[in-house]
Amino acid sequence: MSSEVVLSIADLQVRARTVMGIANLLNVARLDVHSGETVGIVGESGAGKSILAQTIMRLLPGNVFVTRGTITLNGRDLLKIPAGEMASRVRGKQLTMIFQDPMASLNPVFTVRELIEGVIRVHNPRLSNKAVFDRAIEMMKMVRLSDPEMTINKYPHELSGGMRQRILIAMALCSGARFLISDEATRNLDVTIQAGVLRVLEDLRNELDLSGIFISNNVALAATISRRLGILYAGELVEIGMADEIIRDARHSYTRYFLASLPSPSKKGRPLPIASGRNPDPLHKPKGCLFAQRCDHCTDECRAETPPLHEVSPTHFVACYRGGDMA
Amino acid sequence: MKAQSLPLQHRLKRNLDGVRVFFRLLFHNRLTGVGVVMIGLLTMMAILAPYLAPYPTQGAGKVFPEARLLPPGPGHLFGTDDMGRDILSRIIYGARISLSVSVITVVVALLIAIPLGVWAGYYGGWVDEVLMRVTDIFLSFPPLLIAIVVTSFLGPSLQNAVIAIVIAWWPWYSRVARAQVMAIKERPFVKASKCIGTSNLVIMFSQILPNILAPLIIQASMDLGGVIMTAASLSFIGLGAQPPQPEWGLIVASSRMYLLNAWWYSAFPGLTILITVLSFNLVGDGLREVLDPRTKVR
Repeated sequence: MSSEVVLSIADLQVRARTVMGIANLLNVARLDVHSGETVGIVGESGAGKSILAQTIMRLLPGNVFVTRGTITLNGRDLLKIPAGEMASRVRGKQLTMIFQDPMASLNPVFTVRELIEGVIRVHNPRLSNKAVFDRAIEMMKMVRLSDPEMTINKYPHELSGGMRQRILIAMALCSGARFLISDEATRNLDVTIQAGVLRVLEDLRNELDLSGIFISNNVALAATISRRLGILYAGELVEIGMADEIIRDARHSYTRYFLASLPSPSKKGRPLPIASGRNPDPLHKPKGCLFAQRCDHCTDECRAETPPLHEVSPTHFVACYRGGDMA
Repeated sequence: MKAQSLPLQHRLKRNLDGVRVFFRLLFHNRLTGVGVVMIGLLTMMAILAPYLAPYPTQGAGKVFPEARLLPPGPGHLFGTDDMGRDILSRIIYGARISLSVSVITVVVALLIAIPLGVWAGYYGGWVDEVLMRVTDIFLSFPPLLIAIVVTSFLGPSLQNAVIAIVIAWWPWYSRVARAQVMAIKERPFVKASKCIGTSNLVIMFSQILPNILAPLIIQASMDLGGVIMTAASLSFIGLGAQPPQPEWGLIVASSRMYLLNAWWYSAFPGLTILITVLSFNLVGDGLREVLDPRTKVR
């Protein structure tokens, strides 16, 4: 991995103050995103995927706060940037995000034209009307919207889900940011539409040299678009490696369960495996490996202390004492 | 060039269609239609007063003892008052005062209330707390009572009546704006805007504000009648317009002495107030049906 690191998360800890006590939401020891690379973050609901995205954007709800760690983007620690500068210089300029619900993420009272032109104007206040319009059309062509001259005068409710998501991507990218976090961006879309949107994201990554984080609960989807995959379980990154390494050679018990539970025609007639037990309660996380109670191979060591990252290959790491050597 | 002119045309046509649909919906309810027509007529009456009034010069200060308290007849359709002035002419001129007072009051109240309410709803915290306690104080008294207190402090005049009604009225709009903003600011598009790098000020006033205008417009249109009522009431008890201004409430007030022997003196200005307030309420109701997606007229 010779390319430079764009985003680097180190020793990040995020907690929430709730009426029941302090909830431990996220513990990420290390996550690097290299230039031009997409890292997929996969995990089930409640694993902390969206919290991770919101922490990077610095848009956490009021009762959630970062207690430790650094998030370095292009050499600066995002967590130390003042809120005002974060809004005016970082969000949109360097870092942007798209959401899972494109209908709710578009302001319903504006046409596509007003929405896209609004973003362009915020970032380029001195452009002429004509230039802004041309730029908007150009952005719409870039996300492969057919007939942009027609679509641009429509309201969000007149568009299909796939079109809305493309508009959202166009809006996110015309701000000029080159680091894109997509939080379940293709959820709620038909499979074919999903494929189209993924294709756009992939093309844009190559054209604009985007780097980013692709958050999903669908490991197959994330593996398609990402070079590397990280598996998030109960707020911890339990395994990270090249996408094919994770798919072919999963080492962590949780990753194996996760992959084994994917439905596929070859598993027809057999019940999909379910790990017994439940996710640990974020209010009372146990010591040691968080998956220990559900793991078939756990030892006393696993219950005593959080396992460090074990190197499987130079690109593949797993948070397990046995290094995933359990077959 | 072609690419740009086409959408523009398309857009213009679309806006015209929008206006047409809006009016069709508005007239869908016959009562609303009546209200719209009445307000249109009243507005025309106010604008064209010098041309419509049979005695346009009979305004301030002049007394015509020979025409005192004439009953309605061919010369004076609505009769004359105790100074011998034509009541119809005074009512027509009075429309100028009443309509401008109500519009100015509501617009000024909105201009004060919207920024405060949006700010409080968006940021919350102590700004919100202080503002809401202030509005609580205002809302705990009937608006007319506040207006009376304020005018007695400032001295009775039409201008002070406007100030007094604005002071009594703005907290209502602030409350409406704040509640709406609190609901809208949780919608994902606000977070999406933040992610794209939009500043809080832009989000508040160009993203959220257009989303909350409908309830404010409804409230304001319903209040136009209420403000006319309040202004007339203030004038009636002598705290608003001063004689010889042809203010409707004032005309009713000066007719009290002659209630038994000159019915026309109080009846016509009273009826005018009734019709005006009723029309504004009808239009307000109609607007609510059109703008509020929860009521089904379609």
